[in-house]
Amino acid sequence: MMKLIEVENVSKSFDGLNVLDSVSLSVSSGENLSIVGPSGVGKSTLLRLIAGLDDVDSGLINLFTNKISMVFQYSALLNSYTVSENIKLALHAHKISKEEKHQKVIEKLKLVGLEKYQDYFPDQLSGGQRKRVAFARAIVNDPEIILYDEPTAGLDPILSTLIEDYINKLSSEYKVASVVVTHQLSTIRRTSKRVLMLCFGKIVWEGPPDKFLSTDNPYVKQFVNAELEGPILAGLLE
Amino acid sequence: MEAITKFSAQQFIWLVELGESFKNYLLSFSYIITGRYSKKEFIDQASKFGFDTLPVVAVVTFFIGLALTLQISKQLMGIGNTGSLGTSVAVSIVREIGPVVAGVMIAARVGGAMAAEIATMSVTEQIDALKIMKLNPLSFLVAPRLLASMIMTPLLTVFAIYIGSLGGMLIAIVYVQMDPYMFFDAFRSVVGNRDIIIALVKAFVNGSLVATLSCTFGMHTMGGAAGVGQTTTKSVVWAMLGIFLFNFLITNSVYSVGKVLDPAFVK
Repeated sequence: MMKLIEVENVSKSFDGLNVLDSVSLSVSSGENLSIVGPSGVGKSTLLRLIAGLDDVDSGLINLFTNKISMVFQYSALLNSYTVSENIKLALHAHKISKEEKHQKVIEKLKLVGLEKYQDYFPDQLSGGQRKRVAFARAIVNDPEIILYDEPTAGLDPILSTLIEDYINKLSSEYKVASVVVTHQLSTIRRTSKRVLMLCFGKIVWEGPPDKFLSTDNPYVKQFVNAELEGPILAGLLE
Repeated sequence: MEAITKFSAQQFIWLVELGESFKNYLLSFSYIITGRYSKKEFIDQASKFGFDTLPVVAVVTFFIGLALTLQISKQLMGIGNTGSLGTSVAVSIVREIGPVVAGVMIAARVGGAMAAEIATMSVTEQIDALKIMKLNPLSFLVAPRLLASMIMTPLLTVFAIYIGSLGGMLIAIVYVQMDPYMFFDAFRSVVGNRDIIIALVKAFVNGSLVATLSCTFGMHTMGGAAGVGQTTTKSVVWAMLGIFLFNFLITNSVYSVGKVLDPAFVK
């Protein structure tokens, strides 16, 4: 499998607080990696560094593809643009005709079941619909890898399942790799082939999703069972 | 000590942001010159500019024209020289009041809205989404706003001068019983092309300041809704300060240069 992303000893701090401390990982084509961990431990920061939205303090991030997309936690749709215009923005660099662009947009909107909403503005849509539009925007330029920041946060279980199905469909049918930052166990179970737990700037556990739910690692155990006793809460309170 | 350190750090951040604003201005200007900006955004912004600001500029400059002319006419009536009312009002409105008032209203009305919009885009990751789609936020967001501001501010300034002068004429007719033709004759005799050009230069600078500062501060916003509020206030305050500073600098340079080239102009 071809390597798409390689993160080597990456560190990042904000205002003297070390958010990531020498983190290393790699993602290959077609792979589904979930990055989990409690709030505020640097999961989204790691995703932003991979996406090139922030600079690393030290270490190296190698991207072996430029066909990379991202689905943001709150969808990040432009409010003054319609649904179809929002998706079309992702095609601005494609040297194809307007009709072809429109066809591509409609095709992706059909995939997420929102073709009727192409002329709506984002604030006329529900949270779940906005998420699906963001998903359509992320896939319209046929990426090799998609970064998801909390893709199912704030959605009901049914919509969460729908989004998880989209992630799986892209992976199985189009061989699109994914890096999913999530808190939700259902998302971990249903979408990942490999799980990586981040805690206090370090990777504390890595392995397949079935082992994630049964390991004795104290961090993972506390996280999975939502226990108050354990190293996570103690560290957060420090 | 901690307060002093915090204050110094804040001044440093402001300096960095002002430097960043200047860099953004140059880059955005280069995108405008080379036509690399979003035309849709430009049309949206230019129309917003007109609809949002025209009524407020009209009302404010009309009342300033009334009050200014009332004050000047009182003084001139005291010394029995109401004949120079038109010239005094013309000089004040065309050279100073028109550009400054239009600039301040634009900073408050459009600059505030622009800063709040970009700041909201920043805290809701919309600007990050643009970067992911390989869209340059400067050419997509800042350049169209800068162009709209550089075109619309001079137009609104001319409008402000016109409405302010109408207010002045109303007082001249009603309060001083002056003939309107006499008022406008005086206006024409003292206001030359050079005055209009200087007013337009001031307006161009004001428009550039408002758009550049609002967009740059907006793009640097962090901290959710509170951050958006702080950015909006900061951009309006800094834009107004900039307008007053550059208005003084331009007036001063015009007089310094004018004194050398044409002593009659200074009178």
